[in-house]
Amino acid sequence: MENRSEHLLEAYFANSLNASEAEELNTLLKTDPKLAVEFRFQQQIARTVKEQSLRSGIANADWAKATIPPATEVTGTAIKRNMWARYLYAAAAMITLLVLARVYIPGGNNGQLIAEQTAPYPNKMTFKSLGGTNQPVPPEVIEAFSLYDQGKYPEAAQALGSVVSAYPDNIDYRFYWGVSLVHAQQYPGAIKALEPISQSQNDFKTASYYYLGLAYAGNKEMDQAKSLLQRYLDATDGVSFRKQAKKVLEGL
Amino acid sequence: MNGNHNELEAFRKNPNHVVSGIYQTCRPKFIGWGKDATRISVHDLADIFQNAVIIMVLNLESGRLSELIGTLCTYLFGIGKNLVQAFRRKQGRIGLPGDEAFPLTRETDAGIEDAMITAETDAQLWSKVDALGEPGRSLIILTYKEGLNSQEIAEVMGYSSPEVVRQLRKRCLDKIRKS
Repeated sequence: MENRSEHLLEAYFANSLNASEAEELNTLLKTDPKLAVEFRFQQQIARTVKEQSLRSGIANADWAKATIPPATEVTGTAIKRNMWARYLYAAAAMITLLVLARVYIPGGNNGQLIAEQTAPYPNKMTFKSLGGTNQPVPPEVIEAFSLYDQGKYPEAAQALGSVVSAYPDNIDYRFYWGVSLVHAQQYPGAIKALEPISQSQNDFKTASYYYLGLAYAGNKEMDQAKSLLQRYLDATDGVSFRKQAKKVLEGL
Repeated sequence: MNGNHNELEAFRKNPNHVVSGIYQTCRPKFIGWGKDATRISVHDLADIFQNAVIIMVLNLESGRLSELIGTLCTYLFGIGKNLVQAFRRKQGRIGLPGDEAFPLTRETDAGIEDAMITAETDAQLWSKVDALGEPGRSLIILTYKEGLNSQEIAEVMGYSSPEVVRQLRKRCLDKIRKS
């Protein structure tokens, strides 16, 4: 197999393909049957090892046993011991509350569902990639995307809002602004940001259905939300967040 | 014999004691670092740390870890940081046909040859991977489950270069195919 193909396969399984490499691999898979077979073979291995553990590779039984972590609950800075009973009571109380909320408040736990199913969208701006555009990129844009990359979505939403005001014709900036607003749970703003993209022919059009669907769901406009999430699931150009979109749709 | 060598010796004599100490002192440090430096949840960081401990033991068992430059905790941080990188990449991955999130269509299906491969059940395939033994088995898991690239695998498993890892993986895949 060509080195290039091997590189692309390795990058695929290491989840480090950028958008243009993904497109290149996709094209090669359609034109090179040998590569397609190899790809499927490795994909099947990936599926097979998904449930397997590294630990069973340790031959010394005592050493393997030693790697089992102590029965403790992990917290950010400390480990609390023997807290299971308290956690069980707390969990039972929480479940009861959630059930009651579900019964008495229609759509009461949608906020949590939406937040949990809001997947981060990778930064695909060309200035981020190595060998990307030579065009100078204003520092405020770099700064805004840096906040986005760090997952500081409320700050990114504010910074990208200013960027969109300064560059209203750049629809890519608008998309990332909308995604940041969804993550920051500022749903009315997200709808305003993303609506024009869903009606455009931009590359982010399909992805915008998903985020716009989440924004409408967060804004309790359920018919719109359902319609957009379904449109996302029906898209033929490949969707990355199928599982999340399905979960939200089922929960509405 | 220096203090670092003592840690390895102590593990060989009383693995439970040493690992229990690692979980008590090193894991909170790792989780504290991870919380500040990444957006990964505490429980995912705990899982990552546990994998780092297992890899450390695999390396000790294979003889690839025979000498420590720093402490065991520093060594675990080195492994853990590579696992964290791979974990973060998983969250922003780009899908291709055949992914769970991107089912095959008529256009992207490779056809009959593909069907012959998928006819092999996962259990049969896993028994072939398992039969590779170490280090092939771990290398396959780190590549296809944990999503580490060759450079990262070389670092965590103690190989001299990513090229060595690629050659080893190629031999493993050939063996699975032929068995």
